[in-house]
Amino acid sequence: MTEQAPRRSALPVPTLIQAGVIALGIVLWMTVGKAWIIVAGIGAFVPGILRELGVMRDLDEFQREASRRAAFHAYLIGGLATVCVITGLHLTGENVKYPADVVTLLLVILWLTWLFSYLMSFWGAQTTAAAVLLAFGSFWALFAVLDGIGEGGTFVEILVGIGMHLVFVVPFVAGAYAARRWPRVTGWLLLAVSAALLVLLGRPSAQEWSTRLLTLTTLVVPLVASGVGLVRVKRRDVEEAE
Amino acid sequence: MLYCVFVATNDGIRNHVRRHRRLREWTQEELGRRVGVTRQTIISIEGGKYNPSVGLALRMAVAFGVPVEELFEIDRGAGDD
Repeated sequence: MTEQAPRRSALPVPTLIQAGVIALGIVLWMTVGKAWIIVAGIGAFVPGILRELGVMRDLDEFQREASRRAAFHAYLIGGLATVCVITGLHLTGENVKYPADVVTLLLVILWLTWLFSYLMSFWGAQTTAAAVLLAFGSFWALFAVLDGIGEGGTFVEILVGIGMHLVFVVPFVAGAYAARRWPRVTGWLLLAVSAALLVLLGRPSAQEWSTRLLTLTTLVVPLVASGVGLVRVKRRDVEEAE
Repeated sequence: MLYCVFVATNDGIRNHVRRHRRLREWTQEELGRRVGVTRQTIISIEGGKYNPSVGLALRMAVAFGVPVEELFEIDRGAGDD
């Protein structure tokens, strides 16, 4: 019997369905109304609950361990982020105009941490970074198109509006392509772009701080996490991936 | 970010799963089917990225028809097979 080529396996079907429901929920949240995040929440958390109750038995021991390790990482990072937000609110005496944005921010941090940790158990740093960057780039591109169309105006105005938003998609797509070929260089570049975005978007503006923080988190966190993962790739890991 | 540091390690265990599998001309998927895990789990075990549970190690030994000590040993710093 012939040897199969050592390629990375696809995720199991229930996991792909779960990912699809989460993606659908996020799209509905961004385009229809923020209450639709419930769909993403159902996709993110209900299968895990069903597995713990023994109703779903679709994962083998490696997948279960990867999921539990990712959950522990999400608990650590999410807990730290929550404490930081609470401390910041107490110290500044800031009134939260949109409390749902603050809670969403913490949920995004929690879920992104789980996602990165879980995927890295299967794919390693390069493939995980490329996949996550491409996914986030796609979401931002979709948001750019929908937002541009939603704002109305002439065809040229709509195109210009979409184009301005698509600028933020470039680091995601470029990073996904470069991550496989030049992981360490790409990692440092992503970290530099993240720092620039933090400075650019972190400046005080008329936008509510919680909304600005949520935008920063969904934009910068994937870039930083991918960058850190890529700069740590060892030379032998690069050779194995090729 | 801290979570990028947390990856599985083999904790000083070395395995000969790939060698025994190739001797029998089994694919990774076939071995996975015989012991009740996915192909990606076999990939991770053979790559030293994951140490199986006692139950899985014993099932692999039974599938190969060898003692479990022939599949897994303490890594005393020798090279990979």
